[in-house]
Amino acid sequence: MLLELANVQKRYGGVTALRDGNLLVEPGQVHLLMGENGAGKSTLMKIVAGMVERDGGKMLWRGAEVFPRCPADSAALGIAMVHQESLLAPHLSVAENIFLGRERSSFGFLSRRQAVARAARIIEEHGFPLQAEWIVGTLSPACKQLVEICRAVQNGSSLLIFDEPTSSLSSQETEQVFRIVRRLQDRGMAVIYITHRLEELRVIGDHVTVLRDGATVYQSRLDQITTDQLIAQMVGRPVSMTYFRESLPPGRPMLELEALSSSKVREISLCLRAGEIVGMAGLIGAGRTELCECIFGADPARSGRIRIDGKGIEIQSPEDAVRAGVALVTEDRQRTGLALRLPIAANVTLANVASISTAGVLRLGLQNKVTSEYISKLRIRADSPEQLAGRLSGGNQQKVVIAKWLFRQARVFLFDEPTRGIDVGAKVEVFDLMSELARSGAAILMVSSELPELLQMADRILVMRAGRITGELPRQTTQEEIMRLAALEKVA
Amino acid sequence: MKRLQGLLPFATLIVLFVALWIASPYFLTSTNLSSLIRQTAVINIMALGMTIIIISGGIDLSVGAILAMGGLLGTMAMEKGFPILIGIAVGLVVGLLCGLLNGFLIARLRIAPFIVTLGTLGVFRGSTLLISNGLPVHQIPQAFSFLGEGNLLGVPFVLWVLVICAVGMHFVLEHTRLGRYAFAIGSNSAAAVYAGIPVSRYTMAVYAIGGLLTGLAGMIEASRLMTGQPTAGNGYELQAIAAVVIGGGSLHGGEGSVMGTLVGAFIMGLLSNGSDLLGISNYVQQVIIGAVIILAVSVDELRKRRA
Repeated sequence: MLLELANVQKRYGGVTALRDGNLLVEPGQVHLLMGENGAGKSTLMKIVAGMVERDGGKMLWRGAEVFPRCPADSAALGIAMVHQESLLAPHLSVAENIFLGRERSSFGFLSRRQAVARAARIIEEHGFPLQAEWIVGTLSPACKQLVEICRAVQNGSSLLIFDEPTSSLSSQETEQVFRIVRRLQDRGMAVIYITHRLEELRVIGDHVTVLRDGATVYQSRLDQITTDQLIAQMVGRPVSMTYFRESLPPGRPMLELEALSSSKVREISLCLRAGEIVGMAGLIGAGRTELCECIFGADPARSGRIRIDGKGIEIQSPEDAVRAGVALVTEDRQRTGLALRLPIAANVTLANVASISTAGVLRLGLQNKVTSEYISKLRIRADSPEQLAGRLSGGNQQKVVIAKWLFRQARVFLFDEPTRGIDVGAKVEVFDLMSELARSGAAILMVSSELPELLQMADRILVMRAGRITGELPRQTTQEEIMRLAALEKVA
Repeated sequence: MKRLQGLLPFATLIVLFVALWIASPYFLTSTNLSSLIRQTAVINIMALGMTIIIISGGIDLSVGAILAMGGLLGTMAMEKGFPILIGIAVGLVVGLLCGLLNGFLIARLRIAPFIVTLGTLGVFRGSTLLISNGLPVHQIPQAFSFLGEGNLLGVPFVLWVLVICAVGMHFVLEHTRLGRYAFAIGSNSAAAVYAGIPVSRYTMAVYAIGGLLTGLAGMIEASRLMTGQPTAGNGYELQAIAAVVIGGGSLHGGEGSVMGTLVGAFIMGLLSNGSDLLGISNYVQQVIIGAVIILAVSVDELRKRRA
């Protein structure tokens, strides 16, 4: 046994993050670690990686009990972690990042040439599409992940932990990460892989451990459990992975774009009707997020026309868009969706402060009443309207963002990756909200990289590539058909 | 919870107060207390303006220079024969306009507040020296001294002014749309833009308010000295920022309160008043105040990390 965790516990102040963490990993194994947000996966892995210390329980490394107190302790044992959010220095080169904190120096002077050569060796060994001199800030998320991997493997680690490595990657890039994982496995390295994405399971893993509410509830080989059983273990009750949404007869046009172009998208024409959910598929970088930002005025259009509910309007800023009844649920809610250090109540009312104030003076009683209503209606798990938005789980944060636009009474909704970083249970609730919105006559554009989700939710699916719409597919299409349009090579 | 967080600086203030009471027989005399209030009022009022600026995620390094310009132009108006109230109004308007200029440069040109106000610090200070030729204004009507030195109902008049400003700022921060937007912009300006908030307009309003209060502080300073001093307020910006930060304001924005700022300013006021009473040298005072700033902020950071 390479790594054995038994009854591991961790408390943060009054909050128990981990009650009974158990995990067995053998060399050469790709071990999936699954569970909902807040189940304790990350805490367990941080303990292994030496980023936090355990309060109780045992951690055995090759049979001997160990107490890593800092990441360097774990690294010395041969344990390395590839983080979800890139912990790289964007202004430094690939080589400098790989060796950051572990530079070899002579008399305090760094040898640049030597570092570049060593980095190039590591990169070549793995066949990564990187150059040691490249500046990390200019790289794609996938390439940054590769740099993280180089950093993790440089010291000949025997256990590599991936924290949701594919959540920001396109399917091609995901495939690349999988190849790397397999290659590491072939060399006898063990890999622990934290993931939310159920489709990934079978492709990559051979063992699985499920955590729920801070305790290990299931460990086995992957071929001994069905995906539905696995979800039931994570959620604690049976949940179907397939969501069914009734299609409605579409109403009048709510959002019409005519040859809309910005710096990132070209000649986009489309029409969203009331009651419709239109899916938007494409690879990372195809321009889907950029189209949402263009419609919403964050990156205003340079040419083309926008009509909302039949009326032509100029959208030069998000302010204009919001006034016209357009809502954008952004892909990155921590950066652009929420003020994390402010209470839920401030976030819910942020886009419509006018309706809770008289002559610029806030009516705090009304604000809290409104917020409490949304908390119960959207089943946001919160103690009170005063709770800080940053203290909520991903799914509940997303509901707060949606509540903000419901309170603004927006009629055109742009959902950019609405289920990113939220767990299975909350996903279904977000889909329910979107279906309800459509029923009430809103028009919805849903951008998603999860093709099964698009196929379940959308009335029809638009596909983008290189800033243009390359096709439209009916509801009954297939993933293969979508991918063909998304990845299609340009005909010369 | 929020109230508990503000408790530590408050406790510090009380401990300091009691310690000085015990250490010096002169501390708890009405003469000393009212001079303490007069000394701290100027920084206090500037710090109130700095509070909303810091909450909105900004900073204003030019307030010391704005104070001097407001005080100088206000007293020059009086020297020219305008009534005292008009002179005071001139000081306030000058402050407001300077703040507005800062806000305009920050919001429209999207230059970092630190850089903009570092630049305007020089511009305002230099202009003040140019206008005055480097010479102070002395010909001021005697009645003007009431603003800084007078008493109303047995307490210093500036205390009333401070209380009104503090209550007003508290109301703005906690009960108005402007205050809410200041918090939102400071907490996450991108999210504020994406919520459709006219961020640049409100940013300008925030700096204008900061400037207005600084103009008022400038007139109080001029009244206390009975001089329009072009070199007044040198280094005051750092004291105002320190007061906000000791009181729990975060330079990352989105956090801060009027109560905290007042406590912060009074802690610094007590430290300097106490040092004077106990015969501690001015040099040592500076060391103590510097250490207190670092101590207060590190305690605050530790608390936040644990929470």
